[in-house]
Amino acid sequence: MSIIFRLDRVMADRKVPLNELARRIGLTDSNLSILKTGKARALRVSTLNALCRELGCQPGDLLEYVPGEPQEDFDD
Amino acid sequence: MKYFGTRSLSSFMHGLLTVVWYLAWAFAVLAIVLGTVIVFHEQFGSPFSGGMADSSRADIRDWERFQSLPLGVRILILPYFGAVMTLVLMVLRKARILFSNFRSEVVFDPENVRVIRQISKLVIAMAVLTFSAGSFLTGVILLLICEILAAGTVLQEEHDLTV
Repeated sequence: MSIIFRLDRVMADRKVPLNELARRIGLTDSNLSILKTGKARALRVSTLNALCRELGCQPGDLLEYVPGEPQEDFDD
Repeated sequence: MKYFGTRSLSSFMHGLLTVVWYLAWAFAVLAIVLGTVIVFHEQFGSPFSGGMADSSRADIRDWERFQSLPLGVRILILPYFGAVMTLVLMVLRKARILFSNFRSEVVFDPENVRVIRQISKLVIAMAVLTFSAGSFLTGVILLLICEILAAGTVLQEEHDLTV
């Protein structure tokens, strides 16, 4: 997908462990891991809001658009 | 009523199918042995004689007609019976896998879609072999249910990967 999740980089910058962040935003460790490893298909606005609040960042810090990546959206 | 998980309808069906699975194997082996003796042993006589079975005149007439057929034709009943029993056992085996997954609360899963699709094809094949319109309809309905489950599996995956 063309959208890359940069959650791992932001978490490393803030030195926040995965289980601690998951607890603070009310997600399970496995769900946050799906987001961190880029396997997520969709991201709720409420989750994005909680991540920005807890990590003190902007949505643009967490998401990055990389042109030229293979398209897989809306093809079905 | 609880449909999935332990102590549910699926759990009961899995247990029931396990019993039926072993009974079907025992029946298949017994039927092949007894069937071979009855069909090929000329002196065995009619299975309807001696009060062994409640029989009608039509049954006895059919049996006599069958016995009068040449051996080459009579021998065809064994592969036919073998094919039907193989299909029955395969359906039972697949159904056990399906209910085992339901018992573990695995419902919208690609494996279940694959298993139901295989069951529907087996049921349709059995319907063709036994000339059963009811089984054919059941097979087609199962094939449609399988497609609904496939769509559900995609939605479940979307839901699981939405954070």
